[in-house]
Amino acid sequence: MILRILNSILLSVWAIFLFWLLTFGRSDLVRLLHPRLWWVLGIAAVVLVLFLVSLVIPNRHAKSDKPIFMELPGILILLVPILYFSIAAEARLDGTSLQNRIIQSDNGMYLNSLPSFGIFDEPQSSGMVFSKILRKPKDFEGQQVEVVCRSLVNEKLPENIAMCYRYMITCCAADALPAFIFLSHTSEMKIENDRWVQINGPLSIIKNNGMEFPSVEIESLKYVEEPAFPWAM
Amino acid sequence: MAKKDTPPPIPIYQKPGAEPDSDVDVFSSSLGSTVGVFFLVAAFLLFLSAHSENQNFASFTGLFSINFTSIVLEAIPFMLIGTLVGGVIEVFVPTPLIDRFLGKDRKSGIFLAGGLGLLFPTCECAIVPIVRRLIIKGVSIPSAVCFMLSGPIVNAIVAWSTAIAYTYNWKMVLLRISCGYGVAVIIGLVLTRFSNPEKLVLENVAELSLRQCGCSNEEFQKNQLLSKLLHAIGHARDDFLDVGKYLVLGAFTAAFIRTATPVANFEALSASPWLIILVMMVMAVVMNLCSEADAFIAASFRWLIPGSAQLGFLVLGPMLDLKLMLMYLTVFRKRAILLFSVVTFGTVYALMLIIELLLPPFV
Repeated sequence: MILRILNSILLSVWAIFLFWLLTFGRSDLVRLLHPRLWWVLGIAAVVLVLFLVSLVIPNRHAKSDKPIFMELPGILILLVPILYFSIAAEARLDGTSLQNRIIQSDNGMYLNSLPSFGIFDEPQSSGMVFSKILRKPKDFEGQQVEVVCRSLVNEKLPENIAMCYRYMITCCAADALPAFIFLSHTSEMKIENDRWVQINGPLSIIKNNGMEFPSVEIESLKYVEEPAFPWAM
Repeated sequence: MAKKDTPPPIPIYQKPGAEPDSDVDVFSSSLGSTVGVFFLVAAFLLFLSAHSENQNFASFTGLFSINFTSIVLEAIPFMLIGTLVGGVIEVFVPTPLIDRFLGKDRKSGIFLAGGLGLLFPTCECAIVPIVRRLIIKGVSIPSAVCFMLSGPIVNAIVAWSTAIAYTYNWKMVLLRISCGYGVAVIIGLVLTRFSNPEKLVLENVAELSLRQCGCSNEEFQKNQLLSKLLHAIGHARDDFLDVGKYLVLGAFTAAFIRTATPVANFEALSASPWLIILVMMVMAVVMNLCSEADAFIAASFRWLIPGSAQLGFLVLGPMLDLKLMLMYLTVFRKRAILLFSVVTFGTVYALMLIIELLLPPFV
């Protein structure tokens, strides 16, 4: 009986958590999971409710499988992700994780190429010029552009050059890969590291080791809030 | 005494094999509980470190939490759907049908099992509960293992994502699918050489396959649809409660390694194909990527390393990673998992070396 109650609580907590994520917690969910997978999360919540219903239907013959002390760790383990969600909601993929995830060689960093066209519908609020530039930089060459991305000031970069990056998401944050453009600026300008910035300026393409990198010459820079959809895709 | 015209009660699902009936069961459960308690203590300590004044600790725990929760949120719906599919198979798929195509006497069933993913697209998070239920239902172990290894690769969704990631390089798509199928069939055939492959499976799973819960007998099948659905959901729920904790343990380990390990400097390694193939295969085991997303990661290496190494990453990852190995613990004995791991790793590695030697560059 106690085990049934504990399992019911476990299933309820997960179901409520998923429903909350899909309704009030969307701004947190978008930082963890690609929106195209949200519907699967909805199905998961419904399945959990079905499990719960099957568990609470009175069953005269029910008897506990094993002693509670053997089952309790398993139940608590299933609650650990929800505990960690409280940290994940506040944390962000940043310059530290970029250093871990970007492919580097002795010649420098490699630019992750975005698929040549948008695979999935992009949210209206995404400000996706950044992705469009990375997808087809030549289309924007010589044009005035405005991008919102996260700054990276690194001593390994040449003088008066900074990077501006977003993470490209295909499924979830754990799979996300950094994609970046270069920013060239005057020596008087100091850019704060790891801040969301809105950059305006003309776009050019620079070549290095056979690869082409988009680069924006900064005409104006503004520090902004993190966008509602912080990914590139 | 019930009246003659009183309808029979709706049979309510009961978990078969309810009580641990041997010392082995009790010992194994106690050991599992002890490991579980250690994990909970470690998880709690790491959780506390997020509030540490040491910025490095706090930053690490923050990034770890993102990786961990996102892996779980991505994987758990597919695992739930997998358990539901498993429950439906248990209740609604007739045993004779299983026996006819994938039963213990059908060695050719391995070739069919290797391609089942084309009919039932399944990712690696969903495959374990399905395979567990298939074994209980009577599918032969070699066929079940073959489906378990090939299912997350030989399917249309994975083919599509690979094609997109490699900008419609159909050679890569074809090689990935055919290698996935080939490796799975080879391992299935190896298992048919065992005199008693059932010994690879955990005792309680093997027992369930013998006793079942009566879902297959004719008397039960006469019940109403609602009653059968309740049984299917009951099976699915039990599978979720059994397998789910291993998913969390696997995701936790994977996230920890993913957060702590930087992508290496590959330039020095790329001159030795045998070494870079090995490195990429180890990365596939360690990174625990979803088979739908891994092609995008592999494609990001295309400037640096040979196609065979990228292919090794794409073929091995959905068959063998840390999260999966922990989930396999719900079906197979530890020795069996070790055997699968070594044989799978060795087969994929040998195949990639052959491809590197014989095929012209394909990415």
